[in-house]
Amino acid sequence: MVVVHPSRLLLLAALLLPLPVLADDGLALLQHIAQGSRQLTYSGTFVYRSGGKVDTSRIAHSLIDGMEMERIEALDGSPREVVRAGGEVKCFFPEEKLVIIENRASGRGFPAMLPAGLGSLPEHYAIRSGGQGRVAGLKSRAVLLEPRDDLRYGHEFWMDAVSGLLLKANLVGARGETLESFVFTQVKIGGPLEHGALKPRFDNEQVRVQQVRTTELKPDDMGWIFRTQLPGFRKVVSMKRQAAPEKQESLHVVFSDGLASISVFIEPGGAGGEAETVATVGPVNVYRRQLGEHRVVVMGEVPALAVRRLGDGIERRRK
Amino acid sequence: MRHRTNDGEDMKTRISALMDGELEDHEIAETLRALRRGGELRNQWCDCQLIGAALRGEQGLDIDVAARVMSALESEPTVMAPARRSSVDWQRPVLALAASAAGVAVVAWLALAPGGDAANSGAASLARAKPTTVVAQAQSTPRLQEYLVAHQAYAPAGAMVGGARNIRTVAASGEGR
Repeated sequence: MVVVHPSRLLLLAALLLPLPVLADDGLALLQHIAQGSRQLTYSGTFVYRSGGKVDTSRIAHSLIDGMEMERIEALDGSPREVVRAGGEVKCFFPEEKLVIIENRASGRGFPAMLPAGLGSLPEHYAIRSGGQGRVAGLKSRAVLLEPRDDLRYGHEFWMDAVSGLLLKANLVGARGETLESFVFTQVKIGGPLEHGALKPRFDNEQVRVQQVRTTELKPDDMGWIFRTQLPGFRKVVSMKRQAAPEKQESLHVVFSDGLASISVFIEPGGAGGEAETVATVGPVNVYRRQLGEHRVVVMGEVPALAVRRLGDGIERRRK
Repeated sequence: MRHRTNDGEDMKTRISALMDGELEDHEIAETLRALRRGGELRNQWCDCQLIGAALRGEQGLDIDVAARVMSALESEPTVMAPARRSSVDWQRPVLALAASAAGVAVVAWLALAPGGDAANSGAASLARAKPTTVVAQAQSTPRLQEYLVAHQAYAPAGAMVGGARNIRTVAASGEGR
């Protein structure tokens, strides 16, 4: 039996309303951030902190001919680099001589990729605009999002008051603890970027390339049913993915509430009778479950409860 | 301080011996216990390295030793996870894998962050790890890394965080909560 949760009706109502009516100050700021982050040209250094570990990275970002280009390079520890051009993400691990290339299946970029945009966020988060402060020497304004249930974490964003660029972001757990934080220590907003700032540094032929192929799927083609709907989480995309020609295909379904996201991977294999596990990887919870001859991996920057609940509701569609 | 250094030297020797398969079962357990006790030492030579090496079947660490290390870890779940002994049943299987939530997080980190710590040779070797009984439960770890990358690529938080979207992919490592 399908039960329509009242919140989904509300959500529908929310979708039908023009945004400005819904948008309080905080939401408007969020829109500003989303837009700014996409369209601005900027470069700088940021610190990422998660679970007691601190990483410093350099970033350069620009929108060139409508395509988002960006490069992130780790400055601590062994060299790692992520280069993105539109929907293509390349992760370089030079010490392992490995490149993982991931192409987004659909041509849709953000925010079009989100079915509901940011409009439905107030359903699931209490959004308020916070005070003013200074981050990386810039005057910033804060937006605070407090989850309305225990299926998602809280967020704190600080944006540059002028450009809307996100300068600082915290992911906040149920007890108010910071699970993950990201903050610019130095940033230059506006171009031009240094020459070659967006080019991969470790791009050479001496690497093993792992090219992931993905094909978008219609919901009916999935062969799997998601019995449990997490309030606010909508299916963003479902696709077949093949990590390498010799590897078996797996299914990848992405759910999102507009801010948090959960990925479900279903792959053939795994021994029967394997126990379920939840592992925590920084702010990401990973739930693994064996379903007959398939292994189900559910992961997201959401509480363990959310990945477990979604994962437990997965069933094979009866032919 | 001097005391600690000596401990450190002794420990390194024992870890080498452990890696070379020269220790008896009870010595393995003892060494792992000692590792857990030595705070600073643990950071350098932490269980993660050992588990990682065991899982990756690295440098002469043969399957037999790896199996014994894993079994030693399994038999002592509590020491591995002092901070978080969950009473929730569904977390139990986690304890069974590498013996603790901490262990699992570490194992996951090894998979997700190939470049993690300087000494850690990561994903490439993980990908080569033979499907032996030892790694059976952790076999999907290279996939985990791959999946995390995939997850990040589609994570709509990116709309908000923009350039920061791939931070988690770049971020080296971290402690399991």
